[in-house]
Amino acid sequence: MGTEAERRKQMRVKDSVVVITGASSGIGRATALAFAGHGAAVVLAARREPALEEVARECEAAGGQALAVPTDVADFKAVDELARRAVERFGRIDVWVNDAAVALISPFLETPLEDFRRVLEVDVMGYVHGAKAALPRMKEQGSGVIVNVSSIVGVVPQPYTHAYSMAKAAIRVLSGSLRQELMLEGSRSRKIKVTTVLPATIDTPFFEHGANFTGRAVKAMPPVYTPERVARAIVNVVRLPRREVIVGPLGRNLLMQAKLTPGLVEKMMALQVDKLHLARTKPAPATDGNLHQPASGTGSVHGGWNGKRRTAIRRAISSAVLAGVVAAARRERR
Amino acid sequence: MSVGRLRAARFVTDFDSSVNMVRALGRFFEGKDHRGLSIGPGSRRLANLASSPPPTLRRLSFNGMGAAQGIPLDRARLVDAEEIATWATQHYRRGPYDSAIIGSGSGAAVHLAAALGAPFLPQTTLVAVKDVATHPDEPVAAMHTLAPTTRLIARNNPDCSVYHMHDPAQDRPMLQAMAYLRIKRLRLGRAYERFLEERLSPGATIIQLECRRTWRTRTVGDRAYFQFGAPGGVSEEEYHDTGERIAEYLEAQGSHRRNWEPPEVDARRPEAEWGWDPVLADDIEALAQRNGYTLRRLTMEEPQDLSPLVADFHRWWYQRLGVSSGRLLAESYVQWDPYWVLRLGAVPFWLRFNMQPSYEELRRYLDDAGPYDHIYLNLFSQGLWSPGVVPLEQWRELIESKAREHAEIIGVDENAYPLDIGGTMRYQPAFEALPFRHPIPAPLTPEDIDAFLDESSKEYPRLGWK
Repeated sequence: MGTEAERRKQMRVKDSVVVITGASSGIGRATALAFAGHGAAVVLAARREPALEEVARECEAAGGQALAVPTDVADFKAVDELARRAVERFGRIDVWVNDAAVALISPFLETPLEDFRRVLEVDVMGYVHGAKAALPRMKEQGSGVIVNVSSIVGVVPQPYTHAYSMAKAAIRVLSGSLRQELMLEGSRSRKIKVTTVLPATIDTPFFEHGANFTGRAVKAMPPVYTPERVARAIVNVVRLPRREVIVGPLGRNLLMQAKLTPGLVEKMMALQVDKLHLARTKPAPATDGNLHQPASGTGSVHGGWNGKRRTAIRRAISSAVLAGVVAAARRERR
Repeated sequence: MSVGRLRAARFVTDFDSSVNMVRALGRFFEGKDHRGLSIGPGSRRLANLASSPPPTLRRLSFNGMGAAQGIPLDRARLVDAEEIATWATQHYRRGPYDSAIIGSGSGAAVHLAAALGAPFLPQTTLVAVKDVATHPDEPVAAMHTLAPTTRLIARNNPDCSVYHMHDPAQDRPMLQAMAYLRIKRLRLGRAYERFLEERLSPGATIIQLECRRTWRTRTVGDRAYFQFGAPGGVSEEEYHDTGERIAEYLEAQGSHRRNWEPPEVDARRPEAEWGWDPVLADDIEALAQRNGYTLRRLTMEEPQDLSPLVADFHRWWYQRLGVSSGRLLAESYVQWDPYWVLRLGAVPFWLRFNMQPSYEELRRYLDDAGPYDHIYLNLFSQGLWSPGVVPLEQWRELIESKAREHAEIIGVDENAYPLDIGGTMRYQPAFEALPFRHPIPAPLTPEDIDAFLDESSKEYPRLGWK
């Protein structure tokens, strides 16, 4: 993989210490399992202790060491304590994955302000707290990687998720600012990398747990990718840090289209959310979801949106189309 | 046709009582009948075809009809009561009309309006939204699940209140895939005002039709309410305190529940479908005063209370015209047809539904009224044996015991009833097949109601005519 110079630059994931916020479910959980599977020590943070304990057991079974630290990322003291306990147990922090997020989908005027603020507290300030807790330790070590999980909706906004999209855009800006600041600080800080991951729609319980005041059930908007795919991307970006990584080819296409025809993409996104993200036949009660209280249960990686199956079907169709195009081209040449 | 009218036509529900009043009267004024609820054909063959599959398939068809009637949830924000009001007024010819009826829905009022040549403007219309998320027997969950949509429509229509009506007894097949949201006007609005100002003749009479039926409700938002149950075969009390009969019904329907646990109620309010909300009266009175119209109030305690008066009024009218008044045509729910009632010279008696209270109402009427030579009865099918549905045999016994010459249930597939899904295509051909014909008489005036009541020896204690 890559040149010799690149190989030398690559960070060793095995035996590294990785702190992951939002580790009780979805992308965070898949990421914890992926790092543990590569032999990393993982420090797991989320609000749900039973879920974290379960993830810790799974990580240990996958081959890594694990420490569960129940944490509300909106509380800086709790996040700093998380960093302290990671260092106390494993001696350092090599990777900090900011992934904890809550969602709120609601017509703007129906959105309670306190819920709007809570999303920003968790989804923006939670990341700020993570960076503020991790950076001093990384600077002391002289190295480290901060991975901020954003979303393609941080680039192409969607209706009804104002706070969430704002937060995801803010995360991207936070990453950029931190990168610039670290660059300006000189050679020692330059070894600290900040990277942003922008997933497309991922098959996680996120949609089910979010606050919803639209009156309509929330569905994962196709195409849906697996959380394992994002986890792999995060592990890879830690090995070879890059500014930004988009997960999901259609997400990449969307961002490209947004650069070329921003107005059209904005309209398309609005219609897609209205027709595909929100159910048209399944009403839903108003709920503040897991904004203020964590969801019950032990959590899970997947949300039941068949991301794996859908990816397999997409690949099969793409392969068939490609094969057809190749066959047609050959016939044409004859 | 304007986009608004097209949209309103998509938003109204084809089996709604108010919608069928408007459609039937609009077509009547054009000399047309109400075949197939004015949207489909009247055809015995098609009706028989529709009712020929086995009961399970027919039940699924009723469910499917509900699913087809509901608008997708993303369209709920576009529901505009003013567009629906415009849609209603556009069913009527230019006029001028000497009278108009506005207010509560009633099948008897359809015939009264036809007799007076009066258009009817409904206070309440039904908008059905698609709902595959709730269970008919979980009213609290249904209330919470639909509350955002109920509130949304109420918020977008500040001149209206919105009632989420949830009736797992009578509307069960429909509830499988849709929810009932009834929009009740609290202000006249521009469309009704313009219609009344521009299409009535000078000195015309506005008849305000008020059904005083109230029901237990729960507030879910500003002008947004939830109503569990509706008038029919189950009493209001029984909806809220279920017993053995409901347990048996739920078991027969394969429900996981053996009782209903409706939400706490906070007030009695006008019944969602038939009830009159008096808030609208101020606007009507002001408009009548402004335009020099006479305002008359026709009040009733229950939706069906108007049926005996309208039947007797027709009898009185036919006697004046020298037409035999010995033929009674009992219609149920929205399977009415003012055109054929008058062409046949039949006395119309409207049954709100096919349930025990309607049966009792007809029995009481036939006990009190002068004898009829011919009695014809048509019954609406709602897709299941819900509590209180009266078997055909019992209906037949009643009409046969009261008719002097002939009694018959017409336009009903007796083997399929009450899952006679073709019934809506069969009632009009059945009316048309009856062997009587008369020219449509010239319309009456509201003063004729006074004259009739003056001449009548009969009391209508549950009605008011002021």
